[in-house]
Amino acid sequence: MKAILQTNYGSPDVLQLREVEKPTPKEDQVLVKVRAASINALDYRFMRANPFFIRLMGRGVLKPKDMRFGRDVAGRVEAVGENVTQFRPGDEIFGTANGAFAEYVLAKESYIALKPANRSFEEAAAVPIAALTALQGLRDTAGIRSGQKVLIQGASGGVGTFAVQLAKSFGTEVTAVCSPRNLKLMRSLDADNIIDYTKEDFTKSGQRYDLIFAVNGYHSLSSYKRALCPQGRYVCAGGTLPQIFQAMLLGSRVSEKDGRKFSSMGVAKVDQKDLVYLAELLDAGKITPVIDAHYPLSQTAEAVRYVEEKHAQGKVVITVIHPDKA
Amino acid sequence: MKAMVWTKYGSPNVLQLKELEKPTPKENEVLIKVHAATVTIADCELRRMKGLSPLILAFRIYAGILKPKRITILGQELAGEIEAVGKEVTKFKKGDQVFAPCLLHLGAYAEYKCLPESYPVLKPASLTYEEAATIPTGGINGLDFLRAGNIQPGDSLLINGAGGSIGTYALQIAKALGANVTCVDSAEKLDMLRSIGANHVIDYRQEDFTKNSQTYDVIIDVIGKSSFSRSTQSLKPNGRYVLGNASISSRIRARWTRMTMGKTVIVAVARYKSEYYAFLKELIEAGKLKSVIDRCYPLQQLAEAHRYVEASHKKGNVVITVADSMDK
Repeated sequence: MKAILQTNYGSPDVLQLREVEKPTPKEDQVLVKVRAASINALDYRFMRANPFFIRLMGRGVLKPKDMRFGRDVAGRVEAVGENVTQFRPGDEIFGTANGAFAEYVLAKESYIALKPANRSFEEAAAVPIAALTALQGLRDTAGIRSGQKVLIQGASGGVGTFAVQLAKSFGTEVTAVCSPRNLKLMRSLDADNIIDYTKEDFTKSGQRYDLIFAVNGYHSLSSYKRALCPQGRYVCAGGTLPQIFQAMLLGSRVSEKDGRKFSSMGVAKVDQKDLVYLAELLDAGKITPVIDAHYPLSQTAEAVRYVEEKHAQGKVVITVIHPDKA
Repeated sequence: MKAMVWTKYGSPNVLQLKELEKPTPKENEVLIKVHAATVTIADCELRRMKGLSPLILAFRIYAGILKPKRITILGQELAGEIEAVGKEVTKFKKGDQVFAPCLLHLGAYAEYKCLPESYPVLKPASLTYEEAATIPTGGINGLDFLRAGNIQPGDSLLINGAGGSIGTYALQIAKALGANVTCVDSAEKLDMLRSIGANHVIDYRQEDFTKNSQTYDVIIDVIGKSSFSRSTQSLKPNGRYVLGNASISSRIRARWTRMTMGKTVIVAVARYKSEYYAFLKELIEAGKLKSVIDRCYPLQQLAEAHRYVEASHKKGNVVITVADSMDK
């Protein structure tokens, strides 16, 4: 089978299409015939080993020992391991699996869920990590409640587009902050208020929010503090290391002084219950993945370059075409 | 057993060879027959225990206010062979060859040393005891400074005080990862630094790196002596300044700079974690990392070794050989 392998740490040039052996599922594994996969910030952080501690995770100091690449996946179950009870060959699933950018991938049974029938493989593949990050950040870290005023910064990216829709689904009043070219997209996602950050700095407008969810937040914590109600919550997902450190280190300190709380959420946890919940929202049309571009498997490196360089609107999806189907 | 005992705070002469009782390991400890130990600048600073800085005062309270009491033998890292293990020890057995940081126990300048079993690490077979003894301080700190600075392939890195134990490790690791490295130290160490991969070298007596208009993605100040505000100006946008050997006042200034100037200033504190050792082992086995040993002294000549290190002549590491010199 064909698979994208990460041959080294570095630029997208390290991603190469190679012929490798088709894997066989063990115990709790499911063999998935991949139809679509999608790119997350996590992928190119592992690609570049940036932040540095990725090299300290035992994945190889100078180059990755495990060259499989990609996480988000959607496809059809081809075979199952002996202990798998939830899935059968032929089931259409989505979830995460190490090495998603390939014709076939092994997924852990607990890391996947059934794909809603009314959604395409491409749409389903766009969901897992980005939507789990938004869901867990809003619901678990921030404790979102209906009626709150919620501000989403970085609303047009992969996590942001889900965050806007999920916040709406929780019954909150959503303000989306984005660049001028994404205003239309935000309207289409039913954001209640839209702020063009080139025209208005929301930390200086005097408006206050119960919850600020910042994807790659770039204001200082004291500015965010100005824009938070007493008892307000600030959660940042991703961002550069200094920003994450700031939220972790200073955050807890600021929190002690008044009711406001600042937290940084780590990497989203792959939780089957949450995947099932997202599948229900997808099925009911409460969330719709925003897909910026599609690339074939052979052009994964190009696709990653596109995500890294241009701020993609929503997600970039890799489509896997199997020769037997053509 | 024989040991070089730290009899008083003061000059190298306070280190005296004495006959002590051989220690027995507690339940969770291993007894190590010491083959090699090291002398670092930090050992010399501890030995003198001079000055009123909060760190020195805290250590005096720990080690003994007027003279060494709780701690009577210096030496912060060692390599050797496990001689006996306590009842609860599961990780090691007699005969294992290990190296270890002694952390707050100190005590490497002796024929035998007991340490909790969580401290030692199996020595890669390709390394001698002398080489392995230099890893805990130089290797772990060097790696941790790079981690703190988030060094990336293609980054430009300046190491101020690169010629010592930490610097020579940091230089080689950064080179293995594809960074472009400039080393600052005194003239006599520059050839050695070039020989282990430095792309550029600066003699600090001839040139002030903060004034030559060069900028860097990461600056590691091993010795913590360069001008703080000028050093941060030698950083590129998004640059990271990593401060080793940080005094309390520079810790406060680091926080202040981080908050007011938006520059990243990091005070690194080494972590002795298994993944750090695994990282170094992988590089050593790939032939990308070696310990630079300047001189070896037998244990009896420890005072001499301290004098040499104190005079800042040390290129890389100074090692004390223990078991071999005692057998003779």
